[in-house]
Amino acid sequence: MAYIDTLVNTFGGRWFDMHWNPQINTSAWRSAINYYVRLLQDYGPPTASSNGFNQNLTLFENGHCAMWVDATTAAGTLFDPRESAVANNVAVTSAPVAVTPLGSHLLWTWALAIPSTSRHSAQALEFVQWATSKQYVQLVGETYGWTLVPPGTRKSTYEQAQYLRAAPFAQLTLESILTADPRRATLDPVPYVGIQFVGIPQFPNIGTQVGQLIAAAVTGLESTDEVLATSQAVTERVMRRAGYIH
Amino acid sequence: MPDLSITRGPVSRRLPRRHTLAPFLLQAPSVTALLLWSIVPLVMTLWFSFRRYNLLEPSQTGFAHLENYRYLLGDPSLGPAILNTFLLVGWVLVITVGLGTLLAILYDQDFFGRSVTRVMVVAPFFVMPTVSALIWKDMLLDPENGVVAFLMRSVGLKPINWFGTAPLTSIVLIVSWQWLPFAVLTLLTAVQSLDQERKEAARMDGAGPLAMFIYIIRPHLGRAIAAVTMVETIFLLTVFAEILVTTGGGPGYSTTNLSYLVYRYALLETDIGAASVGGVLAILLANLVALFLMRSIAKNLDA
Repeated sequence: MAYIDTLVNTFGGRWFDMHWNPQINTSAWRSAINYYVRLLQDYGPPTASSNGFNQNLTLFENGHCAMWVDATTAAGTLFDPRESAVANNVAVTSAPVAVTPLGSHLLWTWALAIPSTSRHSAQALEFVQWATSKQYVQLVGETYGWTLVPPGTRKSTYEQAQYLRAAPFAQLTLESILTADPRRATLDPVPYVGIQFVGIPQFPNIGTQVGQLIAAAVTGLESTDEVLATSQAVTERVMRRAGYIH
Repeated sequence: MPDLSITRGPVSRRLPRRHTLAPFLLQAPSVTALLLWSIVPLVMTLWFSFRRYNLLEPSQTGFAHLENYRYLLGDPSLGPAILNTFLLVGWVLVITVGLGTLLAILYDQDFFGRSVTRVMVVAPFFVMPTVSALIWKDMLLDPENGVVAFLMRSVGLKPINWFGTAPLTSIVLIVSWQWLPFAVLTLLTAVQSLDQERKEAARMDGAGPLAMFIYIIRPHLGRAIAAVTMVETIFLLTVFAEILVTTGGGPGYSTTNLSYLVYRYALLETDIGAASVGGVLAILLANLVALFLMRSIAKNLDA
C-alpha cells in the first residue's frame, strides 16, 4: 500500500481535502490505480496482489523480477553477493514521477525504544547507544561487508569512504531521505502529515481496507471504478464514525 | 428390525416424585457454571453493542442508541460476509460428507496397506489451522514454487494464482482438507457398525455394489451424516485462521466471512461497539442455522 500512496501523490491525488472529505473517487486516483493495475497485470509476478516485502525480495534476488519499487533498506541485501544472485547486475534509481515530484518517494523510520516497565533500562540504553553508534556501523562493515551496513541511521555513515565505494546506492539513499518531506507531499493542500500514510489513528484501518479493495482490481475480480467507489464509501464511513466529517 | 431406541417417560413416571431441595442444590454448581459460561459473555456482547467503545478513542463513551447497529448494517462488506459464511459452510459440508462417505466405504474394504492409508487420511486433522493454511499457500498453491503449479506445468497447463483469482474456492479447499478426516473417521465407524449378516443377506438376494450402497449403507449412515453435518457446521461458521493467514479477507471482500468481519472491527478498527454488533449478528445467524439443522436433520437422530 505504501507504493500506491506515493503513486497517488505523484499523480496529483490526495487522501483528504482540507475538511477531511475523502478524495479517493477522483481522476487522479483513477489514473494512478489504472496505471498500477495495468503495470502489475502485464508485468507483475502472478501473486502480485498479495506479495509482501519478503516475497518480492526473494523473487528479485533470484532474478524473477526486472524491476522492484520498495524501501531503500532493501538495497543492501540486493547488492550482497552472498544473498543475491543478481548482486553484480543491479542498479538503483528513484521511482518514476507522473504529474508532480511531490510525495513520489516515501519516508519511514525504524526506532528503538525502552519500555518504562523494563527492569534493565540502563543496560537497554547501553545497547541502544551501541546499536546506533559509529562503532557498530564500523563493526558491521568489517565483519559482514560494507553493503550490509544499516542505511540511514547516521550522517557519518555517508562520509565513510569504504561505504560510498562499496554501496553504489548510498548517495541516492541519502538524497532521498533529505528530499522527502512529510509536510509537503501532495499537489493540493491536505490537513495531515505523512507521505505514504495519513497521521491519524484511523488510517491503519482505512489503508488496509482500501489496499484489500485495490488488490481486487489487480486480480481482475473488480474494475478500478467499482473499487474506487467502494473505497470512497468505506473511507467516508470510517471518517464520519470518527467525527471528522458530518 | 428390532426397536433399539431408548424408552423414556414411563420409566421415570413410575418413580415417586419427592419435592426436596436436594436435587436442586446438587444441580446448582453445574447450572451456575453453565450460566456464567454462556450468559455472561452474551450479556456483555449485548451491552457493548449499545455502547460507544473504541480503543483508540477512550474519551468517547456512553450509550450509543442504535448507532453501532446502523454503522455495521451500512457496511458494504456485510452482505458479502454473510454470503461467504454460508458458501464456505455449504461447500465444505458437501465436499467432506460426499468424499467422506466414499472414503469410509473404501476403508471398510480389506486392501494392502489399509492401516497406513487410514493413518494418512486422518493426519490433516492434527495439523494446526495456521500451519496447514501456510503449507497450502506457500508450498502447494503458490503459482511459482507450489506443487500444484509444478503438476499443472508438467501436463502443459498454465499455473493459476489460486488466492487471487479463486480466493473462496481456495479457502474451501483448505478447510475441506482439514475436515475430511473428521467425516471419514465418523462415517467409517458407522459403516463398520453395519451388521455383516444384513450385508450378506442383501448380497444373497443379488444386490450389486450400487444397490447395496443406496438401500443398505446410505440409510444406515443417515445418523452419522447428521452428526457430522451438525458438528462441522458449528465449527465452520467460525473459520478464521485460514483466512487471516492466506488472503486477509480479500481480494476485495471475496473471502471475508462473519468471523473475519468481527475481527476487522475489533482489532483493526478497534471498535468494540461495532464488533459486538457483529457478534450479536453471528449469534442470531448461528441460532437460525441451528434451528434449521435441528428441524431437518435431528429427525434422523431419532429414527
